[in-house]
Amino acid sequence: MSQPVTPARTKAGRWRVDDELIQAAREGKEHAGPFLVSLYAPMLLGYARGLASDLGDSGCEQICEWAVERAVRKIDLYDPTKGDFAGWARGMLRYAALDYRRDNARLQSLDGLDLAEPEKLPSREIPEDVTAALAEVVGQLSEADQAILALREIEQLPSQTVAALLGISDAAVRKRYSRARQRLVRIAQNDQRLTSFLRGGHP
Amino acid sequence: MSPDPADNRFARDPELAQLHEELTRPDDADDHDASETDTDERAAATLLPALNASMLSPTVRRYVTELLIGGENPTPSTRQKLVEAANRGLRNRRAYRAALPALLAFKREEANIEVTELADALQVSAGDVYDMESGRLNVRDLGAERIAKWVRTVRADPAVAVGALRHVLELSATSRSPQAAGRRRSGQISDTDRRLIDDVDALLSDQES
Repeated sequence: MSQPVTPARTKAGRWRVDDELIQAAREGKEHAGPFLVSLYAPMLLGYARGLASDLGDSGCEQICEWAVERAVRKIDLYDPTKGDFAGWARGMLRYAALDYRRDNARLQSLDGLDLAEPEKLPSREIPEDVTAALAEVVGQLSEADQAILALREIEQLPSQTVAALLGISDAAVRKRYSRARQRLVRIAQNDQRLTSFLRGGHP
Repeated sequence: MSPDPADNRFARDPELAQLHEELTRPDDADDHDASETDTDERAAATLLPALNASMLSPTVRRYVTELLIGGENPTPSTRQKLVEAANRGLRNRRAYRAALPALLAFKREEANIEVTELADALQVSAGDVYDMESGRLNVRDLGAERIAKWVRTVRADPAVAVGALRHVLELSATSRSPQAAGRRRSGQISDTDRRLIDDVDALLSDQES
């Protein structure tokens, strides 16, 4: 994760999975596997280390394996209108990391050891109209605020990892993140659907 | 830590470069307004789990992808493991799109069930199992009970298996003459095949309940 992206790796087209490759994977064609790995393994491995550095090398490799298998199995669920394939593959890795931690916690429990820290789960289901209102609020944030929230909340990266990626201090990341959250809440307070939801009710 | 002046990761894309510059620009705002109230914190904690990539601007989505795409190159052995993982996923996809014999052959391998074990469970010979899995033995000749037992023994999902049975019957119906297959018109399977599907479905449902 700490390795900077080189320009050669971001050449237009190099990292864009074209529709044909996605379609080949959907059809179960053999050539799709090595191509997908070539394109996305570096990102997934780096992301795994940023997301779950506490799991060590073997743990990170394991969750990458699970993520790759899951991504291929469930490729029908990938919707390009909701984001790029790389983001979707990282989502698969987050699920894999969660599974790994659950399995590990279960094993530790069986061994009579302390349980690993439980994963933070959303406390309430978010209705569709609230999600739509939230999307409008996010759209009013600056792109810098959106980016910091994306890295911390969607990608679930620790602030130190984000700091290393951006090349700024951990304290600066924490400050920007806190301010982005505040601005989001301030804008949300002007939306009746969101204030009602936050008060515990729902229209 | 200040931004690295040699950091030209986004030099080729002015939009991303500008966003990166905004994110990494030294912050001169006062510290005192950076603390969240408890109410703000609760509101953020309630709303933010619903945040998803589709809510972000296209530039932000692109920026996050480019920021994370670098990572690290896998060692040859790690790459091999990842290719094998991808291939397992692809085999799974092929099996789930396949007709019943291919699906059940895949599920047997996945469950590490020996051919002899399956043969014993179905009270057939090992050679018959190979013929069943390869499709040389017509599923119509197996009967509903044996098909249901086959599905259960290899621990296939009943709904997927019934779909795959319908698939194989449709495939073989279209390869036979309409009279032989008992088809009324294109795209339909015979009443006998329909009964076989219903019987297998019922047997598998009984087992589930």
